[in-house]
Amino acid sequence: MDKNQLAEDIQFMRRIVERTHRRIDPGAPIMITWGTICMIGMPGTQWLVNHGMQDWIGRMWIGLSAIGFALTLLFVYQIRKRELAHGVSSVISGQIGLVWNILWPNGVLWTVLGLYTDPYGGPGFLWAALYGIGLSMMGILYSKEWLIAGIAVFISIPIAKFALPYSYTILGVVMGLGCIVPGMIALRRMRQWEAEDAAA
Amino acid sequence: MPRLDPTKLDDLLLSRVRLGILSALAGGDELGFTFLRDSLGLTDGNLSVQMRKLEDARYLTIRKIFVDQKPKTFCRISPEGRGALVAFVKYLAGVLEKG
Repeated sequence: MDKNQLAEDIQFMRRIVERTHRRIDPGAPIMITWGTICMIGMPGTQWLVNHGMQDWIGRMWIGLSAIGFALTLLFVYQIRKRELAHGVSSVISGQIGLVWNILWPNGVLWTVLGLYTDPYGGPGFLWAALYGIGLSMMGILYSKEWLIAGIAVFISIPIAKFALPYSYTILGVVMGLGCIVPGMIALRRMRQWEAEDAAA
Repeated sequence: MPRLDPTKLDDLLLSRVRLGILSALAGGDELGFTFLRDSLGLTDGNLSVQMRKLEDARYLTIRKIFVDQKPKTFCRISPEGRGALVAFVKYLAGVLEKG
């Protein structure tokens, strides 16, 4: 086997692996949905606290979460259908889903049971930490924008701690943008790849 | 398993088509017949034959499911297939390093 052929074989394998990776759907619409919920819910919580309307916090979050879960189920169904139609059932998509499926019940359990009390400022900080872990994992499994978003969330936690009157707003904006911006980048990239593949 | 020896070439992977199939599956994804056919630019018949050979060698597993009432064939790399691919890549890297 000559060296040129070996190099060609390696190049060929790399090209095939890259082409398959292009078909992996990170679930960008789901991330954009939950990012939007963070951007509404967290500053909303702050506003309700500042206006003495704490009773509305639970109701607001139940409403937002219900919308989030309904949209998530719809998007998961669409992604699954598209994957089967395209002929790609991605293991990375499954791993990303698994990460969030582990983080979410933990966050809900700790919040609802009050296991997370107030030494660092409240459940908003717990959720920020969980989002930071989830986004960082997506960065490792999928692409680096998510990792940058995860790091930004971790950086925002101590900043919010030192600005407690604005903590939920700071965390909400960073968590929201941390989901929305990489989600839009991923969506744009996927559309670009689809157009390239169709043209090829 | 002699095929996992990185000092020897696995004859089964000397075919560009079979190497392409295993490379596409290397990420652990389950890929459909049509996706593989289009990605590798093959005909149905050629892909079927090569997939059968890889299945006979236990390098991949094949599953048939119905999507919108139409049968679809999906395949996934097996541990043996992954081992063979890794050994093959090590062999290639070894040869290139020796110059």
